[in-house]
Amino acid sequence: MQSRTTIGIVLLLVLGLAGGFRCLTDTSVFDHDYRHRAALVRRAERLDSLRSQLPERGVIGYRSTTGDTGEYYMTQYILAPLIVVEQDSITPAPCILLSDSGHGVSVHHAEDD
Amino acid sequence: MVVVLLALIGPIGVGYLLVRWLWPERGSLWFTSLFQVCLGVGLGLGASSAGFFVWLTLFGSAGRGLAIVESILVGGLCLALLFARRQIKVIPETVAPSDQPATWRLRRLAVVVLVVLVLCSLFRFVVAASRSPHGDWDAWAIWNLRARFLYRGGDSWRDTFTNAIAWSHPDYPLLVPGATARCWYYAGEETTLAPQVVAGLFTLATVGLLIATVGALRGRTQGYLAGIVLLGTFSFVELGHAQYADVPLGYLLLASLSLLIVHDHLARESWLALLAGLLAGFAAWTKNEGALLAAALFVSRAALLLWTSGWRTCLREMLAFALGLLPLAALLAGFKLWLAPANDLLAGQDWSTTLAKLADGQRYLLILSQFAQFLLNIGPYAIPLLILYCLLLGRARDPRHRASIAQVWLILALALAGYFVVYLTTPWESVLSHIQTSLDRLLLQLWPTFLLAFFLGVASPEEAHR
Repeated sequence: MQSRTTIGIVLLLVLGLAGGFRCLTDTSVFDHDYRHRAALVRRAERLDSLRSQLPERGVIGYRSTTGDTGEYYMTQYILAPLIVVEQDSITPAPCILLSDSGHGVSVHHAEDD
Repeated sequence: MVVVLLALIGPIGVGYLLVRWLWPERGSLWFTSLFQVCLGVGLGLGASSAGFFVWLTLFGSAGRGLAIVESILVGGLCLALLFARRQIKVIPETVAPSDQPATWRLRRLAVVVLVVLVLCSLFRFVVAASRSPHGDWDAWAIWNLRARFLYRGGDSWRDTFTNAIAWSHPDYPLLVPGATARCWYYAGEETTLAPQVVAGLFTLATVGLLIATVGALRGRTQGYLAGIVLLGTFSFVELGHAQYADVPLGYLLLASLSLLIVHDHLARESWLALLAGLLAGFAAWTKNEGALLAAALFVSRAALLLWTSGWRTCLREMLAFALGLLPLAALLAGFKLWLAPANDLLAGQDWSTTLAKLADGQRYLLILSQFAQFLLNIGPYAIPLLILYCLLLGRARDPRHRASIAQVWLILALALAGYFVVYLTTPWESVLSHIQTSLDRLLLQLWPTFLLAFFLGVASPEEAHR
């Protein structure tokens, strides 16, 4: 009985240590994806230069040429409490360019407003 | 940083003192203190977050007034709980099995491994916090986004509850975003430290609570082993630092159940059942699945009491549980009725399509196979190893916990059945996509409770040595 208990406990200790080892060695946390600090800071800087053109509250449209959902979600996160609504990029509504940050982000005014 | 910590320590301190005040004086001091502190985390964070939401609803926005009222409340409650005395009728049985010298060496080894795992997890938390301070995808797409609306929105904080951004699940309850936004109000700025500390507290408190509950009832070594398996589950640690609401939800289910088990085995005090109901209510205020878990808790508790104690006791104790649950159930109902937009899973249903899904046998098989696959992947292979451990050590000899264990298994079965039905009727075009983007998190919500049931039911090393 004693050896069975010891084997059982050692089994659990090894299971636990394997998880601990993975905590130290798994590199997914280093991926340069959306969650990475640099990605968010970069995006925030691009949007900050246009913030003065945007209303403080309310709903604004969002249109992207890349169709990247992550970029859209992150834009909403950065611009809250504005509500950022994704627009149809294939048949865009007519609008007037208000400002262009120069690094891929611009603010437009919808013509029918 | 200091202000954020102070904003959290106050309510957690009140929660700790409340549990200490209600606690029957017995058992290991270390385990008792661990249990009380870990329960204090859930009670404090839950109550302050719910209170913050009530304040926003009543007064439009939070400011210095909230801090003043909270400080008076926290100070007053701390003084009252420190100086008030009460007698508690304890159940006259020694619960934890006595120590056996033969297992001392193994226990010391278990303590060393547990400490190593705590350090590994803390390292992971610190690295994750520095690399992705806003958390993983759902953290900034849902939970921290909602906290930003609550904090930045001022009087217009209700703007966030619109289906124009339905992808951010604006119908989700607000325990986690409320806790974060409340810290930001205290700090006077948006610091990423707030959601990180909230996430870390819930993760560590889950581990501590599991160790303390199992340790108090089944012996110290068993408690440490339960903690080792939980902290050794890499996906649990990962989900913890992701700043999602799944670990807090798992904690609240475990906390409510632990209090009910303590109620049954240490002191039959209605106050403990009431606190368990309150924690179940906080679970419902954390995520939509929380309402299902609270209902499962209620049903399984009532079933256990009817089975073991008769309908009079069942009625009395369920009344105490319901009294604790009621304030949060009312808050949730108010939120769902007047603030939150329609839930995407419910709004997307139509009877003919739902009935067709329910009649589709292939769908059942697909979901079952995915459940089996995801269960096997926890750990990974933790469940097969736990089964092997059970075969080696056998079932617990002590019959006193069998009713409590049956209750925990019933909750798990009801929760899994609920999740199964949600997948079966999901309006998503591909049920597989729905499963693959959520089932791992749903199972991890139940993982600490599963480990509680397992380690209460399996023989402890002390028992196996006899």
